Amino acid sequence: MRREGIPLFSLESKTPLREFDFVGFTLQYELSFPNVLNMIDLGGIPVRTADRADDDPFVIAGGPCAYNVEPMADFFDLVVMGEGEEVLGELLDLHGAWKKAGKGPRTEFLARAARIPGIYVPSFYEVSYNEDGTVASVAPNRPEASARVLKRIVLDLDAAGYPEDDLVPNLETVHDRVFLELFRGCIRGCRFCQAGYIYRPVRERSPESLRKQALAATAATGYEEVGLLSLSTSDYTGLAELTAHLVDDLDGQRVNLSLPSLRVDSVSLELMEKASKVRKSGLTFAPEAGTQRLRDVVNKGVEEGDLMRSMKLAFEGGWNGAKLYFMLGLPTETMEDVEGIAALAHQIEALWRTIPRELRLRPLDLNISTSMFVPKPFTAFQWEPQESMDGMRAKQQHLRNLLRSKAIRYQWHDTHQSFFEAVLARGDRRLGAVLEEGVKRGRRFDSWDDHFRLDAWLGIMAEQGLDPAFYANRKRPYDETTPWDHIDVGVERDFLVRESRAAEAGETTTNCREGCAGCGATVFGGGVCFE
Amino acid sequence: MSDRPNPRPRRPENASNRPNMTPGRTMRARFSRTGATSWLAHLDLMRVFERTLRRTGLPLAFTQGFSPHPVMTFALPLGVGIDAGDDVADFALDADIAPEEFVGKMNATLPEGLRILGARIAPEGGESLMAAVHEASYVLRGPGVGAAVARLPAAGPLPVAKKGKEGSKIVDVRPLLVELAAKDDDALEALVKAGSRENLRPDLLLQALVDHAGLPQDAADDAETLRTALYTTGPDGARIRLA
Repeated sequence: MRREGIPLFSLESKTPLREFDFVGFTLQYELSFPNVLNMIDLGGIPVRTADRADDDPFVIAGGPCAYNVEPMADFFDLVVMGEGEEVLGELLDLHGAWKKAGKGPRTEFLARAARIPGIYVPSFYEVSYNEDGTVASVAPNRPEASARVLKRIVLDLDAAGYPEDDLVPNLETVHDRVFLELFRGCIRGCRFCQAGYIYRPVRERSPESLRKQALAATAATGYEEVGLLSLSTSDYTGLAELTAHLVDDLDGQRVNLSLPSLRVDSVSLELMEKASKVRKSGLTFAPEAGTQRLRDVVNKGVEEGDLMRSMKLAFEGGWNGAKLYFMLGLPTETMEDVEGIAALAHQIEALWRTIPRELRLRPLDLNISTSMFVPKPFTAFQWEPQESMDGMRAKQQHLRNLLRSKAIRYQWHDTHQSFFEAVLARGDRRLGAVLEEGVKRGRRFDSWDDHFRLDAWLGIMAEQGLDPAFYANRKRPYDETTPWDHIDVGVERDFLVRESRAAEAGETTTNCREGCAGCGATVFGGGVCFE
Repeated sequence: MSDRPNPRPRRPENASNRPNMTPGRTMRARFSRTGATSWLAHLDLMRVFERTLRRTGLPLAFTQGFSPHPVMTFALPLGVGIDAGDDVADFALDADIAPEEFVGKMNATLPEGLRILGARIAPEGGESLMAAVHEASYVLRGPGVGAAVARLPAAGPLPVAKKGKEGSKIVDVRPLLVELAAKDDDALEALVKAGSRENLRPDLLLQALVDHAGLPQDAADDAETLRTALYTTGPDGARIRLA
């Protein structure tokens, strides 16, 4: 596109990005940051906010990685913290009025936007650093900017207005179906899980509104498949009611219902049978850790007994395998915990042999997958060091040696990408120049392992006097100012400290429906906190 | 579609003979495609038609199995980048619908670039739509494409390398070429063998002009390709436009 002089343009009207009033990015994962910079540049927009002229678009962002947007702070005019449904309307109204009044300097508009709750204007904050490189303070430099920005959420999802006539791509894409969002948030409180904290509190949609949306959306788009979306579908209180009707509704339209991974019990197995008819969709479990001790540390409420009962039900129901997800490098993990993963796999193999022969139509196919633990902001583990790449590779190798069975396939993630992800996840504004330089030197598509080059990124960091281990592998004290301290997701820092200490002690915390653990999300005045 | 395992093989070419379908309800439609939709691969084009059919709310006949799809047959797959002036496809319906209603609803729903030109109830029984295709006519346009026609040897074989999944093989274009004429210096009209028995892809015709008539490779690679019509053979051996 650069060679041909074609600016990055919009899908529908083919308008170059630079001609829009706003250009918005959803920051889903850290390794997409270089791509975002490349897209801004391809769109003909100056990459740094400081270099943008009054007639350039406002480049804005949202999404899970927006909560610690600091590595990208130099590139976004403003960032929406939390859910966009209401904030975007307010922002566009403000822009409309500003445009009508003949516009003016960009900063004037940003100053007004900064007064909208949930909007963060990075350039209105000054970051200072201590001699040891840690953040000393993040302070507003304009009266319009508040000291802390609290995320915005929608309390009544049924009233939130879901699009029914979505764009339908002409080519096959990922997620090529209608999606029904069952609820936001998660009651579970797994201590490593950023999504589990930042989307609090849990708010559900009613089965009736979901069913209505499913029918309206399939009619409007012509999609042949509907998927269910949430952080933990089995925890949806309306699941039985919803699916009882939806399977029949959709069947009448010859539309498939695709189920996400469910906690396996007799109810969900029956549902899977009903939804899939001929095809048996794959089963997925995420025990995350190999021993009960470590599962307690991360507050993953899965017990070995649960898993074995589920597997037995599944095997008896005609399934011949499952996919099991684990993380390596979780806080306090030892080789014993790693060996626990292999032990679990072998226990499942042994269980398979106890299943009557006539139910074992195909050979066992057990898939064990490990990813690297990446400490994330706004979690109980935000102060934890990531294990060194050598340490993680040793664990991978050990596990490979233990999982030599024909029936077990072992897949593992690249340590390089996880390491750079850890650098960015808890990064500060000094990483902005690193990202910019990386893109200038052709780094992009970093989430594709064949395009990712850790040595290139580390080289740039070294040139700029930055130490990746400072960001990724350092145990941070509780009283250190984090780069994201001025952002408030509603979950209190004190609660995260309590959870971090509970993890050290191997103590579990109740989920939101068993009993409130006092995280602070009551501040929003709705959701599961008030059920 | 190809990415979904289909437990029961679908035989759309026999759609009107299927026991669960009432004969005479298959709509035979003529369609054109231009612009961005010309860059869709055949399977993507099928998906676009499927989703369009679903959006129209027309009563569709579906394939059996766990992943039902509307029953559709395209006379001859369109390669990527090829415009269609007047192609033909069958769409099976589950109830009596007037062709005018079908055309109206489809054109109100299809994405830009695709248009239904007309429709009629497909004849019952007999040869399938795909088997009926014997020839296709093309207009190929690009700098010097028309002028090259005169330089092509008037007789004798025209070998061209055809790249396949397992290396390339040599194809003689001559017997697949029915008629060839320059429209002007930069365009030609060709009538070629087409269908499941013998088929000449337009890019191979262009390659023959490169290899045997000195057309620059760039001109062949960048040529615009329009398939203007499909033909079948009547009982008397006459050429009949498929419609």
